[in-house]
Amino acid sequence: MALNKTRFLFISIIAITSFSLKAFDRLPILLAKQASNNLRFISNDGKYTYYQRASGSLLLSTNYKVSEVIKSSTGTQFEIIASPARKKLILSQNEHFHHYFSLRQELSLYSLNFGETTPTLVGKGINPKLHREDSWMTYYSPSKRSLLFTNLQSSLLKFEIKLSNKINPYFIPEVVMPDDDRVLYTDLNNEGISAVIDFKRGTGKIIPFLKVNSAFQKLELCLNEKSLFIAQFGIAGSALGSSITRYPLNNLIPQEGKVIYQSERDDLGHMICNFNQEKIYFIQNKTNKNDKEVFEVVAQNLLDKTITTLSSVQFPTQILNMDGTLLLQMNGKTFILEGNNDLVKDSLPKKNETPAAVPRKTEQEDDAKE
Amino acid sequence: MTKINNAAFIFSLLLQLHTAFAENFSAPGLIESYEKLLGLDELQSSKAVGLLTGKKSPGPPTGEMRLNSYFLRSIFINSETRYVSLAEQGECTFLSLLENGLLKWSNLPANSVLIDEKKSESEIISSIISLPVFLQTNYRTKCTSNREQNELFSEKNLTATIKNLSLKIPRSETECHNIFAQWRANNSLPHLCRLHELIQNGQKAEKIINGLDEKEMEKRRSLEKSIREKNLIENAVPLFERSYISNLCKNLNNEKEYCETYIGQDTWNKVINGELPSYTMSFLCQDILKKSEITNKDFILCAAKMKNTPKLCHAINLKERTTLFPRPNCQEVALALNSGHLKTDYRDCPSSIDTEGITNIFRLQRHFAPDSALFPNNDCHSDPYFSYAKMVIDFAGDTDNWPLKICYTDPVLRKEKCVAYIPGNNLKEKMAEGVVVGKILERLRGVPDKTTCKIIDVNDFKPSLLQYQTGCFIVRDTNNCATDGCERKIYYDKNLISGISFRGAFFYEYFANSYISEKFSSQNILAETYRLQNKVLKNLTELNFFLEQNKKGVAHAVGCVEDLLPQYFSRSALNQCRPIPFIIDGVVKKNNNNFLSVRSSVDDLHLPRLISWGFVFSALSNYRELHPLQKWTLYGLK
Repeated sequence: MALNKTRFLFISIIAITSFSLKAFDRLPILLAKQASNNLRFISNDGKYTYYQRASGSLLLSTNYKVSEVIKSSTGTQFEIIASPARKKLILSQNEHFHHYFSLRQELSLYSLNFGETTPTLVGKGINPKLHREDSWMTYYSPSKRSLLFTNLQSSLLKFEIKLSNKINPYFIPEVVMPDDDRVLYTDLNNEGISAVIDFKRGTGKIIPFLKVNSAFQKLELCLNEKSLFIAQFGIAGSALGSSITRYPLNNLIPQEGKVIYQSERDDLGHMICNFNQEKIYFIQNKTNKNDKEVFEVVAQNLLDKTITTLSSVQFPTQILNMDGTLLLQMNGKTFILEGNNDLVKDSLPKKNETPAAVPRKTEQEDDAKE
Repeated sequence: MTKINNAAFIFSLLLQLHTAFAENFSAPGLIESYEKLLGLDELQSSKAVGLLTGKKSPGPPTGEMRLNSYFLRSIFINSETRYVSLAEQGECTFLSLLENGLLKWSNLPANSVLIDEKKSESEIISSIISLPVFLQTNYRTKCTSNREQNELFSEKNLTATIKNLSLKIPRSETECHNIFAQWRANNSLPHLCRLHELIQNGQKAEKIINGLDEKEMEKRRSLEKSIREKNLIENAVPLFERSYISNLCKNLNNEKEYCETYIGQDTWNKVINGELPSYTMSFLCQDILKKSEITNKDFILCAAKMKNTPKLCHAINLKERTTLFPRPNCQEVALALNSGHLKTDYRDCPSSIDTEGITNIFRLQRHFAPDSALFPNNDCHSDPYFSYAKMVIDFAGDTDNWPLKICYTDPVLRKEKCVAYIPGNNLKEKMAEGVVVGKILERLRGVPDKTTCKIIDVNDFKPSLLQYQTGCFIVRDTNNCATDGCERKIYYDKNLISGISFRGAFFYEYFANSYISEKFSSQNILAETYRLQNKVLKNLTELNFFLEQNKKGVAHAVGCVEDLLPQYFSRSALNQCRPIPFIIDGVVKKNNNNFLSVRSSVDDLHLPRLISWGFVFSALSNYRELHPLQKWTLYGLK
């Protein structure tokens, strides 16, 4: 009897262990020549790898050569932001990463050409983004409570939008630029209710584009070639549910919005719409009532509305699109959800092939390779 | 005797009801649906009323009268069960319920009733009479106390009557049972419940009236009347009394629910009963009730508010004390507080501290310090800096390595001199920023001895106002801040002072970043100062065991905010991480989930969150990857 019990326990342990391993096994881990915790950016073709050293340097490895991008003090933390345009990169530098914890700390932000090593200081702030084929860069200054815009072709072209949020000192606005004259961004009113604000540079006019009903809802914005997606996700245990609305860029008005996704549960979100033009990706809440909490990364096909679950990990927290590779970082590991997982090449592009012209692999190519 | 009378009254009611049911229909309500019963009531009472149309009684009934059985049944079907259940207390209560508008019926206006009057032994006539006439006729021979109650609850006596009420708060199950039974037998109860209903109607009217079409004048007038009545009662009946009456009237037929408010085992009741310290709730209640002194009555009222409106917690003190928003709801807070044990007998204000590590260390200092009186109680911006600085300087034994200095060129020595300072407005402390600047001004400008400078935000500094015309001010430009603090300007008697500079930044190692610096990490200084043991907690089992075994112990950690609070923060670059320190003081098991009671250093101290272990684990693991020593940064302190 005791033996049977032990055997049962042993089998159960194996089953549980193999289940949890299997869940993570399904997703390939991001492999590169450098240690994954030092990696800061790898281009889709694996030819450009930016990585940092504990000594405080940021380096670029390409074509079996390593060049220094920037030298800073020991322990400096770098981050690199790119966009599908692949013309520019934004580099953020935090020299006090290990001895000054502050969510509102403004970091030095630099721009540099994609695949190159000469950074130019743009300003200080957080949450930098590239827009309009990498011709514009935005970042947020918590101390000024302002969104700052800088043209990367002509740094004299600058403007600033002051937020009205006075409720949440840790709020970071979402921002998109559908055209050179128009900015849509998120803000909070005096009751903490989120809204999408439509700003026209030409007239300086600010009009509300969309407002949620409750302070327990957050808004996410995502822009791709054809559409703007606005997601509303209930937060802080609100049970207000989630929805994603699509707006055509050729007629970007609130009335043209079509709801493409709805759920009664509060999803985590982190919507990505520019990885594949036919899909949107986000972290969905799959928890059944009175059951164990479960979140997973899903992809919704915009044509047939089908939803595919991409992970089986229970607590994914964030997803990101790193130059055409969809990544999930959790539990100290970086998993590849979709895209190229052969990122260890280091050779230069072929002749007449500029970095910007490097074709992104389609899923079919990946499938064929597999 | 009363019991016999009550029984006789109930028996007569039942008999009348049975007659009404038996006449044409078979036992409705016992096996048939409520809808069918309602239909039946509609049909029967309209039939009865229809027959009587135009037969309104010319004057008060002269013979023996009772309510018509169809009408009575209509009351039982249309009224709320809790009020019908109260009718079993006796005829006087029943009449009082009628009088206070707590019983409803169909097909007749609210001020008319259908009666059967016995004209002779063989003649019973049905007629419609006005409710006041019916009550007056009854009160001539019985229920004199009802008339007295009417007087007591009249507009002019309402305040005094409420003041004289004895609203006992039960402390045990037996006591609650007795109090509940006493209330049900109390003849003022229908009057009290009328007040409750009028408030409810007024509140509903307030919601409807704004969206009402301007043309609907009659409806608007009626709504305005309801609002007026509500306001009148709210002026006469204090908040606690209103809440007590509301709980009583809402649960007239549910003793368990009524008692749950006072003796239930939730967090708020535990505070009320003294099982949890009062500070668990007092600061929240100060904000919710907008009162500085919280009595036991206030706790009960506040608990009821938090239970009835869980979203209340997200909005309290929204502008005065900003934190990460939205805050968790009261239900989540109650669960987290029930499992946790961090000492929170003070207030802090995380958003006014530039660096989150200081907030977290301050919270740990306050938890482990043997005496709260050791802490300055100046303002929530200065206290964390002073407490931290004092701890670090005491540990080091001198200020040589203290990073923050105010520098100036000494006019006598003709060389630069730098003096250590602590940011903040605590002018009792000799190292305080304002005191140090005052001393330097004495040296540089010969200002009077013991001059101190007040730190003020640039947005509040109005030099044209009289209060800023004289004295010394350090004006902090909060629109221009960096890791080394915000830009500051010094004004003495309106004049801008130059030649004084602020140097250094509040850098610290929360957990050691290298083996050499281990001794001077905040974690180590804290442990040495308060003689604590540090224990690394590698998994949920260890964390759970630690918190269960050490009722005064808490865990503290540093993790990536993108993983700890993924609903609030996004990651947009590979290995992006914004480290945030946080405290865990409890584990809550709910629906097969292991939630941790977490206070991140950007959250309100009194509003902990429930966060799944999965998110905490990811936050710790991702930060470990970036840590110079690849350190697992979750420690138990005891």
